[in-house]
Amino acid sequence: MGNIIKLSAILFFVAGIAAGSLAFYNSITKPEIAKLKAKNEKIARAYVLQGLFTEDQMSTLIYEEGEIDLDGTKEKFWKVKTSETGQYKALVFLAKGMGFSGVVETMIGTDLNFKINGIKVLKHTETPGLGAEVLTKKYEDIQKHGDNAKPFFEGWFAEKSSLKVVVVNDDLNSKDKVQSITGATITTRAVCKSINKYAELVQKQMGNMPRQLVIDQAQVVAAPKDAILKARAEAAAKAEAQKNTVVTEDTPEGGKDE
Amino acid sequence: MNKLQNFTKGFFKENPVLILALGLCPALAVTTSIENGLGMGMASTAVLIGSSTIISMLKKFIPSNIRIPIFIVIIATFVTIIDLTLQAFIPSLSESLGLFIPLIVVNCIILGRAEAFASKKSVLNSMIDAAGMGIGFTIALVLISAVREFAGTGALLGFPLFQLMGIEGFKGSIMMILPPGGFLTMGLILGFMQWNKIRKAKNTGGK
Repeated sequence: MGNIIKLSAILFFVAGIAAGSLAFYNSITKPEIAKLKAKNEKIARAYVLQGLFTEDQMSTLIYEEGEIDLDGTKEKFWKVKTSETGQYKALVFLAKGMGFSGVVETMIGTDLNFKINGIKVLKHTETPGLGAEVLTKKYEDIQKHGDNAKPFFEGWFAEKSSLKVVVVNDDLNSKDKVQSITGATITTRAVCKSINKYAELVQKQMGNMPRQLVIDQAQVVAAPKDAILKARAEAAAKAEAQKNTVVTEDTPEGGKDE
Repeated sequence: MNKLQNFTKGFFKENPVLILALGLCPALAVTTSIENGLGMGMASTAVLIGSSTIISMLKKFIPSNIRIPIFIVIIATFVTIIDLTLQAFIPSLSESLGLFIPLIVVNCIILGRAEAFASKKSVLNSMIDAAGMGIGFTIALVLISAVREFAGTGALLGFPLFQLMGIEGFKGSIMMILPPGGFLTMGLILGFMQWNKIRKAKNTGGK
């Protein structure tokens, strides 16, 4: 019995030292990892919005963070506006879908109608030579554009609707179809489906907000939460009033002066 | 065995993958490109050196009944440190190796060297042994991944050799990058090593 206690104590002690040293090391690397993540996110956001804004505008874009609720987990998305006009011009959101051998994470930049401007594959663990082709750049593109060459897969998504984009095998007639990568339909489908799903959630989230918030948000920036609540209440009241109006308009007498 | 022999034995004579057949799982899984093979080899070497040194230092205080869990705790600590270091400072490598970094914990080369060598020998010898074995592991991974990357994509270290030479249309055999290619390459290299060993033994026996 005494031996068991002694051995347990030794094991406990060793594990304690290991945990302590890891906690210390984690405190050193954590800010670096967070910094790197923020930097990559910023680069990726600018990447998927390329072409929507002029270069001057790009450097002064304001990203307003929002959240979508995905079965209990919160995911980020951004509403993008230029500092000049203060009007929302674009959306950026993340999408995650199960590919062939792991999660494929993409970032998508769209206009306010959810038409895709650009996508970027952030993370994947797909098979080299097949699914991993999502990041392959064509040799002729590299020759033409050098370091600015983009993976050919990303180019397929431009101008497609993020709500409807679909793999060609699944819907031949859709105007928002993309080809599937040879031998990697599962990966392509995972990307399309995840984009659809997340776009829908973002749309729902945006829909929850009163329309004026999307178009004009000057006060919202100052006090987002209060303003959203207030605006929501106003919008609800207005909608209610309109409903009543419609009802009264149906009756031949009355309501015409409204 | 002198120190130099102790260091170099892991390169070929007792190469962990090619002769001892240890650590075959990562040797098959990550050797799809030279970059991955080299990264995995170096990360494993760092863990091997760190854990062997600490285990050798503590060998007198570790009761033999619970040595294996203690070895694993020490190894896991080093693996986590390497994982965090790669994430913070070499993110591209961290991304491409992904899950295989945490899996170094269960790489049998590391536990094998801890059990067979570091828990019995002096600190300096354990460090030298660990460094040699780590380099041997790296050599094996780079060898396998070079064959697979070249046959699978026609590239070496990411440079498309055929296209650079102006030969268009070489696609490579995707099978070589997929698991069958790993088994095939490893089998052929292991076979070659054995054949070479037998040939040498015959030659020296003949003399």
